[in-house]
Amino acid sequence: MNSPKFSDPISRRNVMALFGAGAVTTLLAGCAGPGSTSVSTPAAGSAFTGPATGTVSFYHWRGEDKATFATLIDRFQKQNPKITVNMTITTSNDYLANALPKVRGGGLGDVLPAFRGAQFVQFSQAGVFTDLAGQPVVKDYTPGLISAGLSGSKQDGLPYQLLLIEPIINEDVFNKAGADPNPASWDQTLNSCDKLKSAGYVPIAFPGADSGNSSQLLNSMVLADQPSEDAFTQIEAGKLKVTDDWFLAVLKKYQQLGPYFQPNFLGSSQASARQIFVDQKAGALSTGSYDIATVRQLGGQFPIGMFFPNTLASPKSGWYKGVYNATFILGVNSKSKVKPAALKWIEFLSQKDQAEYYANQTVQWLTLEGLNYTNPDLKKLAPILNEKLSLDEKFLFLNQDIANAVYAACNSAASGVSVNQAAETAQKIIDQARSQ
Amino acid sequence: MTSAGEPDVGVRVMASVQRRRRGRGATRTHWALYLFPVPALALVVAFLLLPLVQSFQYAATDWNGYSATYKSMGLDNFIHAIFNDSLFQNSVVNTLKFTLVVVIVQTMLSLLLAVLLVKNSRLNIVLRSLFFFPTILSSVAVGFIWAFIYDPTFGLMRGLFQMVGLGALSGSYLGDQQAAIYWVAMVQIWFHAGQLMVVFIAGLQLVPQELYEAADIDGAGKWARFRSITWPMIAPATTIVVAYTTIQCFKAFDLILGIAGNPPGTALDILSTRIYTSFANSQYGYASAESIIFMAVIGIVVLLQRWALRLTQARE
Repeated sequence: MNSPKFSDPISRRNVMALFGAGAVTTLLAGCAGPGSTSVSTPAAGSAFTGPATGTVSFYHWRGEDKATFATLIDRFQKQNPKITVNMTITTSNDYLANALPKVRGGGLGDVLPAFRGAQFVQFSQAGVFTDLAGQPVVKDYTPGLISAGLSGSKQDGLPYQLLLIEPIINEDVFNKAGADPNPASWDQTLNSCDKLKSAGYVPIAFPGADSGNSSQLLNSMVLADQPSEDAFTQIEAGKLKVTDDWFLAVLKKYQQLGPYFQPNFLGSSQASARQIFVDQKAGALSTGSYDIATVRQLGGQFPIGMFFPNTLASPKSGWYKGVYNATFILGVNSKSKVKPAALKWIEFLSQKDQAEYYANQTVQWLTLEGLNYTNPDLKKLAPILNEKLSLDEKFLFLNQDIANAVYAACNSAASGVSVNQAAETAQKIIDQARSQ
Repeated sequence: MTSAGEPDVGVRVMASVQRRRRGRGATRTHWALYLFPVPALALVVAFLLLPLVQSFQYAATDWNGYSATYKSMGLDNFIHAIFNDSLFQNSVVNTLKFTLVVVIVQTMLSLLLAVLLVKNSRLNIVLRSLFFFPTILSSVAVGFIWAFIYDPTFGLMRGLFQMVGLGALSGSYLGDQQAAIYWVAMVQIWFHAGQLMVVFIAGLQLVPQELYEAADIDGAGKWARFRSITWPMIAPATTIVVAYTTIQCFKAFDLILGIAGNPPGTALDILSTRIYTSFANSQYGYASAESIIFMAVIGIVVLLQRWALRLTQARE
């Protein structure tokens, strides 16, 4: 029998059969069940053994902190010549939407933060983080502020930033208009807005086209009317509805507040609303303390304060004075090949000197204990952190479609749509999302 | 023994062998030649066929993208998307509105520009380059630029309306729930009309001049010349323009995210951004079902367009 030679012809039928077999094999491989990758989390402690060397990928969304982080990376690399930190920054929205599939393989984000709420839960369920419990660095943080980084008994991450989530104000404008920055009731809140409007200012610059920023106001607006502090969780669970009286009352307040936003506010981005504020045409900017650094960079030289839109029917002692959030939950990727070096970078960021540098440069309080804030805005506003504050509740939403439906209802009501119509539209989307 | 006139046995055998060899030669190719398409086939299988098959498989589950387990859903994801998901239905309507406006206006505008600039004069070449210029920009950059133009407080559009005494028409643009999709359609037209003008110019330059000369002798007017000569002769170019514009509209994902942010509000949510939001919401199974419906919608729309264009050609 002759053995086949290179020069031997082969029939077209055989070739097609060969390709067919290859395609079927590939398709069968393609039919392997989804989720075949198991979720495993290494035990605490054991994950960080070995030499702290290599290149650490630091993936995050804080573009505004790029220069500060770059300085800290330089300092870190000088102290740790065997470690290199590569920083990758994306926008917050992109990070929220796309970070998980990008970091699961471990190639990106040896050190990475998560937003408090849905993203942190998602990361924890997917086994993205390594348990930090028992690491000495955890003791550097204020115990009451790092619970947002807990997943069961595991300390999956350390919330780094502490923010006030309520409108920032131009105190000069408030003073000129005779408006009260600390209203004790809803009537007083509207009265302050009225005075600002009468004095020719936009009372509140509102980024209506940016759901992430415009929804920050909801945290304050919901406080007096919500039946419980986990109202948003209950909306998502179907136990409460946005068509209930309590939420209609919230929407009614949005409707009353709408005329105090800038004209056509539904089309305004965060940058646009911020510019109105920087130009001293607005009394307040409805975002949060995280915007102070950018306002300063854009040339805002006026004294900045905070404005808590109180929604109480009548003044009540012991009531909240504002809303805060502990976020930027830093953790170590469980798929990282340089975990000891990654932990070293988090430890460095948690050192008093470095943390103070970061805080003062970026105008953000941190959850670390015993820091000395030298930035004038941080120093001035820090006493608010000692008041009774409500935790940012909108991060309780775990489903983005449900959250967006609720935010859209608030903006619609503010723009003049009837509260019932706004609520019914949102509830329909919530019901459909829940039935999936 | 062979009778006279019959070929010799040896000759018949040789002829038979030759026939067989000829036959073999006609049906057989050297096997090494079949190796040449293998790299291309491997790429198609790995990056097109395999993900496509997996999409069908994921679409029948509730997989969240990271769990080791999932539940079989059968056709529930498809049924929910088509009949019970108002956000998905809204995105289909927005996509169709966007596509319809862009296909009609952009095709007409690019054809008009092509007719006006078909002659190779120096001024026309400069103008063609000018109109083509937006095409070379990135979609995200275009999105950001137009987001500023449409800003209701500082935007150029507001200034323009006020300058011409139509200040009352300036509203919230992208914040207007009814009109936002049309404002973005305008951006898409600005972005790509110049590109498709070039396709039409290429088509127009292939039309034989003799036909126009004959029409001139017959005393045909400009409209008659266009209707009876230009339009039928550029049918292939029109088919390309319409099909390309349609697919471009369905894939206007980066432009929408650039102009409206992520996720866009319901007024600007098109099919591709809706699928993206579902993926971001850890609904991989459901998003896969939406993707398959998306594929079917594009297929149906393109088939309808081909049918409509054939009908136009047949009439001409």
